[in-house]
Amino acid sequence: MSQNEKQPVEKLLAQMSLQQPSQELDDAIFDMTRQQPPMKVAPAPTASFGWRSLAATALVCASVGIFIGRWFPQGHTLDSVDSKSHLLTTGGAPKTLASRSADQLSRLSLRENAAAPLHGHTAQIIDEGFVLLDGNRPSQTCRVVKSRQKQREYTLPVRETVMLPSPEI
Amino acid sequence: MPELLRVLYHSHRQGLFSLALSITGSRQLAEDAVHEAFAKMAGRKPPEGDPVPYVFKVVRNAAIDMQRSRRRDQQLSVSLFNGYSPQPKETDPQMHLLTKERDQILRKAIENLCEDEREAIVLKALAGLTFEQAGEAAGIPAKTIATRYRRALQKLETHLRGQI
Repeated sequence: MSQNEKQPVEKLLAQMSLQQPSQELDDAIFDMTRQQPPMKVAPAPTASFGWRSLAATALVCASVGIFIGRWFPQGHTLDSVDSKSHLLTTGGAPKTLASRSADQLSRLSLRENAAAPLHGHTAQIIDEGFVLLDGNRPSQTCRVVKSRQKQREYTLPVRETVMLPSPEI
Repeated sequence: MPELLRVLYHSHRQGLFSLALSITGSRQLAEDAVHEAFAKMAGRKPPEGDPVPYVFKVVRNAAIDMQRSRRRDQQLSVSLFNGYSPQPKETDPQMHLLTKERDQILRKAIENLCEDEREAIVLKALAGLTFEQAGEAAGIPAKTIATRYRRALQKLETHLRGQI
């Protein structure tokens, strides 16, 4: 039997009077559908935002890393002196340093490992650094400068004679 | 969506209300269910497929929720029908009485059907949906609701033959 072919019972059903919804319901539905309710906006998926910010952070980190890598000279390794942001430079005659070759002493800049033989010498602290003493006479003046060849802004305030500390200190 | 809902309500208000009434058994609860269903749908996006079974489905679910929330001792049963509506051409008083009696028997027979069969009658015969739409609204395959519908018609016919 096809859907369009109606049985007698179906014809009877079609003749029956059904209960109608009230006018109040009709009015309520029409009022509701007349005004435009705000559509619910689906929240933006947080996963995509996280990936985006993560990618941006990685890009910034990579850029900073490249910049720092180019800024530092190639082959340069950080040592304990760099961490202290100080270099020892020779300002006086290097002849009194018996353990140092003339070639090494001709360099203006000395790192802490190069200046290791200085440990244990008596020195006098001056504004620019210190003066090594050979007995009571000054034998070598060492100036303390900031790393990257910048002069210290503040000079050492006190002049006094001290013993240069040992490396472990 | 509101414009679509208005058109759908205008076209199917009788069927929607009858469906809700057949589930809740109360005029007030049926109207509340229809109203609540349309309030929900007004805030949603339009369905991608056929909107007619979608609307019937939402109203059906709202009516079921209403019916469940009602207390057991408040069981109500209001007829889907107003009563006999004489056809204009029926002028014979005897025929009028016979038809009225038949109508009352039919009403009682429909209300004695099981829920599934009554729902099939409401969706197909009273709301005028196709089997596909009725099946989608009830959340079952079209073949299943067609089977229920035909079984319900057979029961009604048998009941009418025995009474008249």
